[in-house]
Amino acid sequence: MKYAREGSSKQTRVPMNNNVLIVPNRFKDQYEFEYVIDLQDKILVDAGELNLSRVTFVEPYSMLSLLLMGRNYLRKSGNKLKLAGIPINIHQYLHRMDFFKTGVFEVPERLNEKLLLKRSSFSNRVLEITEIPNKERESVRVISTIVGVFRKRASHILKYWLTDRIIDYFVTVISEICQNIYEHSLDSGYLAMQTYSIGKENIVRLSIGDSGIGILKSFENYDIKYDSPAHLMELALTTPISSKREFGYGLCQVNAIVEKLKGSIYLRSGNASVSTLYHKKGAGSSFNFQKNELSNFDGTQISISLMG
Amino acid sequence: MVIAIKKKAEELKIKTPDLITRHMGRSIYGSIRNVVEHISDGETLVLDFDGVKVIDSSFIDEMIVKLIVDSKTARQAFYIKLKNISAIAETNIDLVFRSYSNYKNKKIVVITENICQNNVFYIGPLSDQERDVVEFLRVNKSISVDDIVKFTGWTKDQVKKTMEDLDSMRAVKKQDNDVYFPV
Repeated sequence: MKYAREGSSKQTRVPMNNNVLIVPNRFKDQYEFEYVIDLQDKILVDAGELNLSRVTFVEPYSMLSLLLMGRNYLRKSGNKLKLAGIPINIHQYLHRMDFFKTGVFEVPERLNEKLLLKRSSFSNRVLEITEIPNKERESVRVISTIVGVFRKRASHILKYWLTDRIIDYFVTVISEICQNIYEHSLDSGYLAMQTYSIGKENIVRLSIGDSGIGILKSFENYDIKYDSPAHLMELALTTPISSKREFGYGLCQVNAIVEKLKGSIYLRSGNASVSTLYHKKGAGSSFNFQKNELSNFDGTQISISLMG
Repeated sequence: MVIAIKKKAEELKIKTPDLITRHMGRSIYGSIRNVVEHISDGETLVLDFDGVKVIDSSFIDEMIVKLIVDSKTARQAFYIKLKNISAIAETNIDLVFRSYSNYKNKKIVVITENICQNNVFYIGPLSDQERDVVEFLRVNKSISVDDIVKFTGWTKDQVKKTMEDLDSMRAVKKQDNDVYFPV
């Protein structure tokens, strides 16, 4: 039996059996998922199979990031990463979110059809995983479709926050972030959205991710001063800088909307992240966090959440 | 001249109510640009957004900003006025115009038919003085430089500079005899 260290936790070790890696139960939010990203090198080099038996909950950001990890594996090895030991509730959720439809993973265990979640009963609170192509014309068509589906389901997805204006805000956010994928990443990406509850807290989370060139590389020929990769990402959120035009509005606009809605935005690219918790702003505590020297994870991933 | 944007989008087979992405902005701009070729000197082009909900920054940059730049540089001077703009569209236009004005060091504004969220009839970063003049003109329909001097108490040079700036932004219409009209 081999063991892999679980992220920065020096005490916990994850058993690794030959080329099977038992994945830690770290899919509850973007911060916990860092432990899984820490294992990425082992996954890409050593593991041909991920055992998810310990996973009890998966939220959209972690799901998309696992998907990107699987796609990186497929691109590097030419083989599909095997997913095994998936608990029934996780299997139901991933199936419902069209996770397996992406064709990135090999899943030997099939879920009994009777156990599949009915689309009609659960559809209203999610936007299933959708691939955003890296070509403008195709991407525009996909973005329009996503926005159309979102408008139809918005009263359910945003049930706890519903106003006329919030739907329009989210349409703007979806549009701006999806366009960043084909404009800047040079790769296709994925989007997913879901409303869920943890205890008494309701959370709506929109997640978008790609494995493209990332923010740092995107700005490498741009004359802008920054102290660290996370600082550059902070600038991308707060000032209308662009790597493609004289100036850009997308991320800046998204950040302004998240602030208006008192939500939170998490941006990760390469080995850095920025997290801004507007719902904590004004409460006397810190609400903006920059991290550098994280484990590298290609591309850019964004998670936008409202809590209520 | 009034252009119904929803209708224009439908002619181009673009789904509404949301006009998003640079691609859509470029398509609608191209279509309107053809119409603008035939506009009369000094005419106001009203862009009616009735039935449109969200327009994002990419669309605004490719369509509205370009038309405003055209209005200043075209052989035939023309003016732009927005009608039936949704709250989110107004917010997005304002952010784009403020970023553009900061980074180009050149103000960009647009007059609106309907009152905006901040109780004025324009979107963009005008100074308090410029705002007062635009609002005065909207109510009083025409004004001369001398009238503005009396109304504001500013020097004649200050007034001339302000009015020239507003005229170059296409926020007011200037006549030969130093009389100004609302857009």
